[in-house]
Amino acid sequence: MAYLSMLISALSQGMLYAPMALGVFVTFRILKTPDLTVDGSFVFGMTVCAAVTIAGHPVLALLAGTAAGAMAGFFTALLQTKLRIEPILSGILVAAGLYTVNYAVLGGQSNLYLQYDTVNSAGAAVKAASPTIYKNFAALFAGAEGVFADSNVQVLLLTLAIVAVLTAALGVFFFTRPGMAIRATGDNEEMVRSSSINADLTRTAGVMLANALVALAGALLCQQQRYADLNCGSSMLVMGLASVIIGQVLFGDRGMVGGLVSAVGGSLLYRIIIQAAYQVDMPSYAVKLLSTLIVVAALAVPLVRQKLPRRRKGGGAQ
Amino acid sequence: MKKFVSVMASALVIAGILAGCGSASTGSGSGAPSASTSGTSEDVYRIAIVQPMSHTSLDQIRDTIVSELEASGKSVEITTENANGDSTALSTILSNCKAEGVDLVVPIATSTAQSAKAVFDGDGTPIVFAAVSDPAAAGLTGDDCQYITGVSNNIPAAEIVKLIFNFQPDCRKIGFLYTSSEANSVSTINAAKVYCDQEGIAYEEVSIANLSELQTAAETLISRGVDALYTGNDNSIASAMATYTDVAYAAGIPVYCGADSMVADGGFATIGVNYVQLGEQVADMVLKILDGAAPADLPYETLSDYAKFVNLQAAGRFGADFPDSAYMDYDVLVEADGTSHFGT
Repeated sequence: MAYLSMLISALSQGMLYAPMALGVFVTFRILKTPDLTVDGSFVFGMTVCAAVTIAGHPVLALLAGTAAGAMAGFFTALLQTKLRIEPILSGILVAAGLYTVNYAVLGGQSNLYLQYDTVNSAGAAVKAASPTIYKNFAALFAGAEGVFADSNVQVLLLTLAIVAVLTAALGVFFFTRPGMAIRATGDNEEMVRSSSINADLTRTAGVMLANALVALAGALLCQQQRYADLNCGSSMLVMGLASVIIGQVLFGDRGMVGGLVSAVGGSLLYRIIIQAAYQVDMPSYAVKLLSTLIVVAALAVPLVRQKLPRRRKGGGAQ
Repeated sequence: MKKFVSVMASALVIAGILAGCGSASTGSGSGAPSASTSGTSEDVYRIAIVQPMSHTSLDQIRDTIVSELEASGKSVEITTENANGDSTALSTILSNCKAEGVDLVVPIATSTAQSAKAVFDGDGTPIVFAAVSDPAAAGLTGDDCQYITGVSNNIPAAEIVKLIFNFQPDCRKIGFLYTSSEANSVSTINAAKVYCDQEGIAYEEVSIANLSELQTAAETLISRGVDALYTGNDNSIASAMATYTDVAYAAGIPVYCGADSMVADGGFATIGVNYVQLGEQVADMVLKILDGAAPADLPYETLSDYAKFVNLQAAGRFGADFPDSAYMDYDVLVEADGTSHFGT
């Protein structure tokens, strides 16, 4: 039972970070350009979402957070395309600048809890928890017994629905004309330019889309954990890359839709691995190294596979 | 497909092995100190201490709580967890604690406490936070916090004023000097001003936008006839203590400040967080809950004792003639001959 609840917790966390994995997939696999804006845009989605949630609009908050991420992506793309700054440096610069913006969005503090000032029935000024999509969703299960009473299950269900719609929408989008143009930009930018498509425009659209997805993950996490904190963006990119690559190792190269699904799957598996790593009986400071080793092992799998083609064929013939 | 199945299987095996290692041991999840005294395993009260990263003061809090609980003679099993600066790991660690059915969780620092609130979600597991500066702003005091209490590391304004009046009982006017862009510094000064207004203590204030204005600002305050200068935990002014104290001490005005490092750099005296004290108060609270007290009946506490330091070399520079009794509760951070005990 303990393991089941840990698994559900890992799945619900993995699902919350899945939009970020999708975002990293878009830059890393489709545009084939590393984008380091992620650490900043994740927190940007989180802080904007927190501000709007506290104003009392949980659904609008998710959209606002997502739009904020798109805006961050727009500036990164602007540095890349118009100022011709190295993509890696562009991302780092925008992420660094976002620190100040995020600080300001939180009202000059590093941590903001989702609550508002109100007056209780006794007439005293109190702070009340702001409604979030997860709280509203959990209200549907009021009085539920068994598995549906578990808040992790509720979080998992709602996030799963959001991620499923998102993945399907992306799957469709990348087969439309604009979507194809973005993919072509990643595959062969010269060819795209010679086909009189504005490659700067398609690249900008791609980076905006990616950061919008990353920021959505930040916004979802903000509503689930009910606070925004400036430190929440650290090592986000590494996590996103690890998810995408673990997914790829799992599912192999299976085209666009397969790639999207495997990014989501990778995010889930990454969280399961981390959760298991924290279960090992060793000093908790060692977990960082252990999780790094696991990710390195996952990254090495494609190469190992490539080096052992004979054995694989032999195994298949039996 | 075969490839996929084999990879999936090996991944699950790895996860299984890792999980298996954890369940095989009693300390569950950590190699840090865990104590289990007499009593059957059902009677053991399981406590998890979770910190967001390693940091001298956070480690000091953790170690104090562990040693206090072990010394209590109660049948407790303590697990210590550390997210190592990975904020995404906080939820993971806390979910593990929840799944293992810990009886009480001690989150250290604000975001850890907030994550604990979200993970345990009012399921009845007591949460005793440590080192949250503003529990109300952090959402840890509302109606949905029946199972949450703890110890804040906030230094009340009254203590700051007491610090000044301890040495200068006849101080007529305090001068507050701060950097306007530093939130922590501003909020400390604002709280101190409110307190002074209530108590009828006169004060003057000058804020600076950048360090080039520091000397002028200090001179302005002195010209307005302040008897003491106070600056909170202000990172920019902390980097220019030499300039600040040269001006002040030349006029015979002591400089009180908000951090021990500022005293080491020339400030006269400070009152700060004593992390051992904080850990002891948290441990006391845990023991009360262990003895059957309801967390709802235990409001969160602020520190009952503080770290107090003086710089005797600085005292010589402004010609202090305070009685020995004033120094009684204070630890000497810098000796009269300039020997510093800071960081040792």
